[in-house]
Amino acid sequence: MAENYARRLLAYVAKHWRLAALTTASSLAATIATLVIPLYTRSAVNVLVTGRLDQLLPYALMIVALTVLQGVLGFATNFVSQYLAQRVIYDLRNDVYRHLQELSLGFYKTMDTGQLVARATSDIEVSSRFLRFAFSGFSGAVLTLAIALYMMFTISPVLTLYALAPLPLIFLLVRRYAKRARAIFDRARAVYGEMTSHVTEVVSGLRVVRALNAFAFLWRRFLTLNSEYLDLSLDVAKLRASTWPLVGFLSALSTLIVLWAGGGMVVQGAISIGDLVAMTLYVGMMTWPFIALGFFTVMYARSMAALSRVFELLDTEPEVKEAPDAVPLEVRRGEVELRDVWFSYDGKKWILKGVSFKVRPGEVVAIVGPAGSGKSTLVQLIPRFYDPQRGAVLIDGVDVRRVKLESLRRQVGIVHQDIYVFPDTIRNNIAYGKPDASMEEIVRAAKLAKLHDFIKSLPQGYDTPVGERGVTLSGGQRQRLAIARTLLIDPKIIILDDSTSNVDAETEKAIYDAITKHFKGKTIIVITQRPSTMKLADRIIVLDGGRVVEEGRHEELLKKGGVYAKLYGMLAPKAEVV
Amino acid sequence: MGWRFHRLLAEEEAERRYPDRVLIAKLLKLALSYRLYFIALAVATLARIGLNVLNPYVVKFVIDSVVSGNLSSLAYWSAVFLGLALASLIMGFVSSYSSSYLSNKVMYDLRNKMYRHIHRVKLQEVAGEPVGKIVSRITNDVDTIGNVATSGLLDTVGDVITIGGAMFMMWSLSPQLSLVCYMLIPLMVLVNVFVISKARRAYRETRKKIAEVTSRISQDVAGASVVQAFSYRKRKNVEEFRRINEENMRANVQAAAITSSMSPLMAIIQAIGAAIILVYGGNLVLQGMLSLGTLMAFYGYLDMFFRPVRTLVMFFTTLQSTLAATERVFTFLEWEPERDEGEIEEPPKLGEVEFRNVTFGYKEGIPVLKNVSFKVRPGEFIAIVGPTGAGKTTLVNLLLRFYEPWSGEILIDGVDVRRYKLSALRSAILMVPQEPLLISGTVLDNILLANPKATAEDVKKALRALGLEDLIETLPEGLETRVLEGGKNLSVGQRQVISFLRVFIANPKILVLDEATSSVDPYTEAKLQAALEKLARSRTTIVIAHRLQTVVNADRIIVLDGGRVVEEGRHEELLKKGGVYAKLYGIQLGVAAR
Repeated sequence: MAENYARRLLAYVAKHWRLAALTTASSLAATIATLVIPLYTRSAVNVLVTGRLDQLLPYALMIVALTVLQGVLGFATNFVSQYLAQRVIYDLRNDVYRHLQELSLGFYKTMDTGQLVARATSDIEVSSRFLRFAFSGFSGAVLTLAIALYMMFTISPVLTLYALAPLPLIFLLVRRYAKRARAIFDRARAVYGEMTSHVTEVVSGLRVVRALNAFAFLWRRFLTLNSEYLDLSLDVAKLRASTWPLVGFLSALSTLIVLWAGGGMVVQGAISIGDLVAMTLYVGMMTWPFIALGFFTVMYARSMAALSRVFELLDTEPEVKEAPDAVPLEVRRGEVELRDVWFSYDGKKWILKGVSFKVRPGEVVAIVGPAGSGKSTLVQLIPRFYDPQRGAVLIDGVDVRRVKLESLRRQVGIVHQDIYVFPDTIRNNIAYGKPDASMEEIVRAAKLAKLHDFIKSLPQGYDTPVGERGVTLSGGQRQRLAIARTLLIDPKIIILDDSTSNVDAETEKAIYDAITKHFKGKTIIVITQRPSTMKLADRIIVLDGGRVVEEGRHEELLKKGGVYAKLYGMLAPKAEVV
Repeated sequence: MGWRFHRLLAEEEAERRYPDRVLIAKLLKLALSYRLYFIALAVATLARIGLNVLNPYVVKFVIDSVVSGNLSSLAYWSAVFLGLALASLIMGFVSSYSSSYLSNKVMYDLRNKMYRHIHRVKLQEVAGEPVGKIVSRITNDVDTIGNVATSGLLDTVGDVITIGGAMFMMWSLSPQLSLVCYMLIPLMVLVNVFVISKARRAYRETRKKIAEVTSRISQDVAGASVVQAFSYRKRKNVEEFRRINEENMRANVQAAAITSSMSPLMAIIQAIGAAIILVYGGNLVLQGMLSLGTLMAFYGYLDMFFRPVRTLVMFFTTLQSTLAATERVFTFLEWEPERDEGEIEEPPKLGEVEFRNVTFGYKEGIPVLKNVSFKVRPGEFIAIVGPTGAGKTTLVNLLLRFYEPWSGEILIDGVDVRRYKLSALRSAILMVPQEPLLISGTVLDNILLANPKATAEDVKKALRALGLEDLIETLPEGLETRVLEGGKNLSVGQRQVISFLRVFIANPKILVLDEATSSVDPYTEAKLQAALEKLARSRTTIVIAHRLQTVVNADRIIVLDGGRVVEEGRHEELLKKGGVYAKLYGIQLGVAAR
């Protein structure tokens, strides 16, 4: 499985193979330069014991030149590997974003927003760090290890073996460290996040917190979180303290072995004093490769886990897919028909059980029914956010599964029950579905949704930022914004899913009057809880338990004394006094 | 070089109340309050540095014994080397752990202190501050102090000692050679200052850009229903994202270029150092004025400069922002706490409320309440109405003693509220705000907020008593359902239910309710109204009313306008009177009549 992800990541890297080749080459060259320096140092030292200054100079020059070269190559390695990693995640992120645009609403309903965002951001970031490390640090480390080993062997195989003895332990230590630290860090970050949101909640509700006399309860909660965070931090501290000094010690031990055993060999005349100095330098270089190896194994595993989440997302097929032979829809009359529609979100519980009805062109239809009767689900099938398991949805007699999605959604405008407002200006929010709309069009839509006067009252008018970093809109204002957004695209069929529940009765009436007047002749489907709106409709469809139970005009249904009459009886007296 | 030099580098210059040295002294005092760990850390750090500085010196003796062929001397110096390595190991462990312990303990204690403080300060202190800023003091600022200011301060001292120690050792080995080597230090500082300050700016840019990327993705995910409804916009979205993504890439590449430039620059310095040691030092060796071992030791000492110089420069470039964080934390702790000098520890038992000639305003000279007097009998149900800005919420603020009146008195059971201990006063009055307070945790946690001693059984009983079971039943895990941020997984009705249950469980003598304005569906509305009537039955209830239903049911209505009580009485009486209330009511009725 991991190999598979690695291969897919590699495919992204391959697109920039020139960068990959360049960074690898410069990393290798830098390593060679680094490794060659001790050879010249050895010669220089040997000259110093016996020779003259003019013999020393060429070696000194070489050392200076190689050091500078090593630095320049270091720059190339470092920079190009980061550049490469950035290119790769740029491509990957674009692909993820494009795919997110393709996925169906059903997918988003099942996924946690934060986790989904994390896949496109932090999970991809992990791969970037991994790539950078693989191409700069790690490739150099492996080569250093190989060459340094070779060099040391040529000087003295026995001494090399002695010197190497403590080093594999470094690998094990670092691997253990990286593994455990990661787990603790993840947990600590989660606790820290909880602590931050706890404090945010308390500070923003401070007045109420006082009024509720809630300190005792909250303090206990905060203390638990803060203590847990301290414990986790100290776990990391222990881990760190028991790893890095030990790594340093093992490294020093290697050096000591070289100095002591090698010193003896020099005295015996087995190796030169220059050899000994070179050996100490090489052994000093061996520590990093073992550390890098330790990190690499853990980073690889972690990066593959992160990539698996990214690729899993990219592999998710949209539930609603356009047919290969789909044709553009041309809504001429605006007739909507549901033909024996059965639908279930999870394949177990049926939400719609054989719903059939027809909305005639230009008709205003209200869909009513108790909570959970399937009203919202039903209207979401019309612009094809979901496909029914059985039956069909037809517009002007054409099955919506046979038409191009773009053309369908351009002509069927829906305002959802839960409104989303983008953190952007009011103008851009309204123009979301028609970014090139003129100011007149935007104002007209806002006027229809009875939002214009409010917008005018804001100092920045239509350019007022709203959402997270702007003005907070009330529930009713958000709903009216969403209505304006949908009306702007001038849809042939308009669906309003309980979209005026937070608007006061007077304004609501004004909105419906404006819409029915302006869009006269267009098909309008409205889900509502308000009796006043129900009365406006040409026809009312009553849904209960996923079935159409009654259908007709307000007066007829009232006379009938069925589900509708009961509902209306419950709603009317309360609502009229709001 | 000092602070002044780095003042020039600090990008975030804010107005500061305390001079640097006062803040540094405060930090040191804070660290010193953990004396044992601080001393352990100081000793271990110094010892570790000493051992490091000694190391090349010992290597010199090893090499020199090899050159002279003295095996016993070699064994001796090797043993010393091993001893140093072992001591380094132990000191490394002690300094690493005590440093982490110190900074984490400082953060832990500081956070607890600040958290307790936020629960005690006067609301006025907090009122003007954005929530994010206050939160960031308890989180980010404390982190900065914990990481940089305790062990960081010590590390800085350590770095200075390392550099000084290496310089001293070099001097004692060869004054001539060391003088030449010292010249490299200013060069290192210069390069570091240049690269680090540039890198800091570049990284700030990358953080900004990645935030834009994240925000774009999260809004498209959170607004998936809108994105889908207008799915033909896809190409434009993808194009926009590509642009943001590319800006992010460019910022990162630029930062990479800056940080990578450190390597060739340092290499040049290293090369100059090598040249000096080999050519100049080598010459000295050849002249017999220097031993080969000393030359090798110089190599080692020169290496010792690189890291400490770098961390020192980093420390000073971040010093200003560290001190700014320190000041924010200490200023926070200086916020004035609420006055709580009352001596009555028993909460009031009856629930009689009286405002007697109360005048109050938030800003001097602008009274919000003007000579307000009224009395609420125990068990009475009072509706307070009035146009926006009439002073309704202010009444509540005074009753709960969030603020003190300029003049006049507020009495509960005939006793001035100032004479009760705050906890006694507030346990007798419970407020249900328009937007219920929700904390992360389960629904049950949220209900128990005001009375942690109650159990899940009590809550279930309350649910039945208030007839609200079916509103909670629809939650996937009932009372154990986790409340997501801001309660976004709860309906408006469910949030109200939580508020109501809190009242039932805490059973206060006085209930203050600020009616919610956002509407719920009619079924829920009816249920909540019935529950409210039950809640009000056994206690004094003061409602800031927005609904007609509530006023019609009230025992008495107090009409507030322009900070004065202008009318008082029952619904029908007031309506007949044809005053402010009748006008207000007319507006509401006008809407409702359609």
